[in-house]
Amino acid sequence: MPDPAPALTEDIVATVLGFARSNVDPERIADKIDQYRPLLEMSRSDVFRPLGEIPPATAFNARWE
Amino acid sequence: MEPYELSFSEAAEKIRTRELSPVELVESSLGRIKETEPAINAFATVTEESALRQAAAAAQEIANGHYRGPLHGIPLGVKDLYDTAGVLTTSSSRVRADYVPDADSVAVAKLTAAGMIVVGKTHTHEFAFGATTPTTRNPWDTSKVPGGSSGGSGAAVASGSVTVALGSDTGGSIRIPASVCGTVGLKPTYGRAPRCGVASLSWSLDHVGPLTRNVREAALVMAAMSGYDRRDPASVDLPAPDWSADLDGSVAGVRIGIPVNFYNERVQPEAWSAAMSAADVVASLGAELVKVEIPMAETIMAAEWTIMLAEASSYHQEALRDTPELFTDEVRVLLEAGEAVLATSYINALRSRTLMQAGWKDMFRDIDVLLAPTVPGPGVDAENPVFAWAADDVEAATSAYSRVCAPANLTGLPAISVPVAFTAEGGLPLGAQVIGKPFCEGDVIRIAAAYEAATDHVGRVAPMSMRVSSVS
Repeated sequence: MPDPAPALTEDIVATVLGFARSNVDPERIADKIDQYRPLLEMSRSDVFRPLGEIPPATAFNARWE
Repeated sequence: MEPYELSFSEAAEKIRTRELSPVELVESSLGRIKETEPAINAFATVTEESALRQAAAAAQEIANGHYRGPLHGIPLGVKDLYDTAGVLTTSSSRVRADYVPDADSVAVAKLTAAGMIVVGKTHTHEFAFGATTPTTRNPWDTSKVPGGSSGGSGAAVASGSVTVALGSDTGGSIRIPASVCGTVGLKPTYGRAPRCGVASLSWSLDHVGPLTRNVREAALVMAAMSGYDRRDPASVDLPAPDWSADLDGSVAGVRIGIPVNFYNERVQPEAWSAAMSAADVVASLGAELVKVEIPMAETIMAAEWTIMLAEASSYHQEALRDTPELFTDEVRVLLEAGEAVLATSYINALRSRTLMQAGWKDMFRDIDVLLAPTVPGPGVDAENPVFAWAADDVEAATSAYSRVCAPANLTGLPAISVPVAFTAEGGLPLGAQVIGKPFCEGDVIRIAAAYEAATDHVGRVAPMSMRVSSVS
């Protein structure tokens, strides 16, 4: 059983959005954090474990024609 | 009876035999649009002038003996996500308020080549990122949402303005409005129909397809939209399909999976009962009902939303940087959240999808199709679009509607929604979806057509005159 994920704080979201150069200002992050949080909690990568050697489902097609 | 009230089959036959001119049908369609738009606002743009011009050309062509087939002269509504040459294509967003494409999307080009006549562009939830379509109302009760994201197409078909309108389906956006508005909605197998020229929400989940009044035109239009196109990386190189035999096919011996989990959770009892009654109808025609467990149910929403958020935020990143204020706040929040989805989360969601596909393949060893409610309940109040499951458990309508549809997007399997009941209170439509094996659209069409023939739930036009009130 993995350790519970740390709470997704406003500071963490601000750091990630800052690294992404998203131009979302701190006031807006504070205002919208309750809407961001459930979406981002859902996407935490440990939700999908265990994955072992499973490859991703992608749609790249190497054919030229 | 006005021409717009004719079913697709009746109208197509009358056009073929020259009892009805495409001009009369298009004029009737445009008249119905004018009559109903104040109440439902299904259309972003009505292309009256070009539609009448094309109708006159179609009439002349048919008079000259060049009948192209059953789609010739039939009015078509096109979701405003689809490029249409020379016609404003806004995706119902201020971000693209002035966008006029130079060329048609592949789907529109194929359908107009088959003789269909575009009468207008239908509203979408902004960039298809939502399931309520706030611009538009439900023809069955104008205080309710039409579903989404192809809400304008659902409302246009339900109101009788057209018998066919195009949609796109990333998390149920064809099937949701079809269910909520009481129309048929067909999402093909991922890769069956090219999406070139259609604004993307999420490349690996997007599908294009029609919403229709009856099953027959859904099969014909879907077939006409299908075919390999190298420009769409997901496009699969298969010959053009023909599902006409399935429209009159038998369902005897078909094994229908009935889910014992996921699709019966956080679903209104009336919606579940309606779907199970539909299963009983098909069983009475000779199908066998088999209970099945949906695999990896706990991961479905996480995978759907992680993939959708990340891909949508990538698609809209430049616009979000340059003109964030032009997005509605609802969609802007989703796109901003998507910026914070980690690459590893996104890839793990795609890896989880691989496992899900294997699980569904295994589940389908015992069944031919799966039957389930399309959505957890009917159209919700437009002013407060939520499902309240308990005092402390309120779910946004977009999340609730897409939750029940998402498996067919993640697995890419073909799915059709048909109306199967009307609520006891308010008479709102409820739909059931039939999901088939990959590239076996004929199976779901056969079930839907058999159900349609055995009941009177499919093909109704909303009695709008009883409930018209203007959209504020």
